[in-house]
Amino acid sequence: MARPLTKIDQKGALYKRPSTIEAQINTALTQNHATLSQRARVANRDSPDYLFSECLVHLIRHAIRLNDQRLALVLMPPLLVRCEANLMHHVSDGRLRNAEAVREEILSSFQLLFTDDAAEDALDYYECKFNRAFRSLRINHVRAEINARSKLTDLPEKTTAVGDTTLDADALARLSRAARTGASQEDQVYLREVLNAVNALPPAQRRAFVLRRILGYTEESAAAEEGVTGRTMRNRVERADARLKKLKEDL
Amino acid sequence: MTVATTGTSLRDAMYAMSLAKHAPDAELLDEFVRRYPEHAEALTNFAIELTLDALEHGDEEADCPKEPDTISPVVSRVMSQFQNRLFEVSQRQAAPRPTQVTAVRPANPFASLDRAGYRALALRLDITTVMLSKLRDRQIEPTTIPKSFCRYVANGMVEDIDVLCLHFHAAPDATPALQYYKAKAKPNASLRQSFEEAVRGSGLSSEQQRRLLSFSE
Repeated sequence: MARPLTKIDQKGALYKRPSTIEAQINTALTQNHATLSQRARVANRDSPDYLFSECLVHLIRHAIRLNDQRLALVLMPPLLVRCEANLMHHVSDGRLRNAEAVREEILSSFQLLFTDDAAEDALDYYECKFNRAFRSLRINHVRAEINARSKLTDLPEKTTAVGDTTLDADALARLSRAARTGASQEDQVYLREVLNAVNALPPAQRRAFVLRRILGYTEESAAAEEGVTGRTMRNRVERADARLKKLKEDL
Repeated sequence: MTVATTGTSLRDAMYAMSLAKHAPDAELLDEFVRRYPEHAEALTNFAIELTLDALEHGDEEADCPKEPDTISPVVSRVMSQFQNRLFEVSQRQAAPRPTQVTAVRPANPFASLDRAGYRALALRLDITTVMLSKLRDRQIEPTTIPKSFCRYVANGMVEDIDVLCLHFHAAPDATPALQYYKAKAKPNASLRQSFEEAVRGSGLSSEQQRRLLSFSE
């Protein structure tokens, strides 16, 4: 039987794995090394033998607890290969100059979770929703890397155009719709350009823009969130809008 | 301004936010900032990153390797690190557990609980106060307490797991001098119950027992 999780969510309840994951773990725990090794390498999600990453995490933790190094060493490579595929997509070579080093650092931090007593319990999150937990790790590493280098992206800087303009309603509608439901294929290319530009904004403008235009905060709430006056917040958003408007004209 | 702290680490709060929704919204961010005021600024920044990330990548499952059997040099190097760490862990597991090496008694993390807090903790952990007393009074052999159970209790108490483990590993309270007892033999505080014995003998329901024992894989 799958060991219960011990992490508590923001509402004070214990995290629970989705029932499909729980069922798969219970089956996998009864299977031998050879079967598990074979199943771990199945990459086709539609295959009945496919093991979810959440399940692989559980099996590796279980093997380490039982000091079954052989099984842990068999199951970890396929999981890392999946993580690397995820990183190749999200931290691609075109996004960061040292993308490969960042990917390696993220994978290294991930494998450490399994053997670091102080951090091991974080794997509970990975047993619930692997990709969402992994994105938290990824985002923190990428942001730290970007901050360390004091530059936002490898894209060229846009020219500043300060003025009393706002991003047009269509662009905003697309952004906020995509934030809620995901971008349509038609919107993908356009949104990527807009997001690259948003990422290239100075940090304060970038935060102001996301809080006001995407998350939908009022000027007062966004100002309170950032600890600035309403007027400062308004100025930051207007500057961000002006830059993004210029991008829209260029597209 | 004084900010009340929840004891939840920033790392946990970030994971929780990431798991809560594909793309955070103002409502979710407000909830987290209210719940973890000590991490308000970092969580706001993190929510912004999550939002932009969700916009850019959607909730797609982009972890299907093109060549699942090919191990890249990066994965190979990380596997090497993992192997080294596993070796260290196995050495640690093989080494005898340290016994009491210090005369300094670690702080009892239960000491600050009043009667109401004590009962509330038992409720939160879904155990009886008898079981909780055994934990508080170090009546359970620490080597038999599963790590995951320690973590569960630590989370319930919002206490550091290392502090709690130190408490469990400390010697039981010293027994009073022999002359205070009428029995021929002096009570022996060093005889502790195993975790399983404690679970079975603490008035827990069968469901509670089953749940607690499932920690002990």
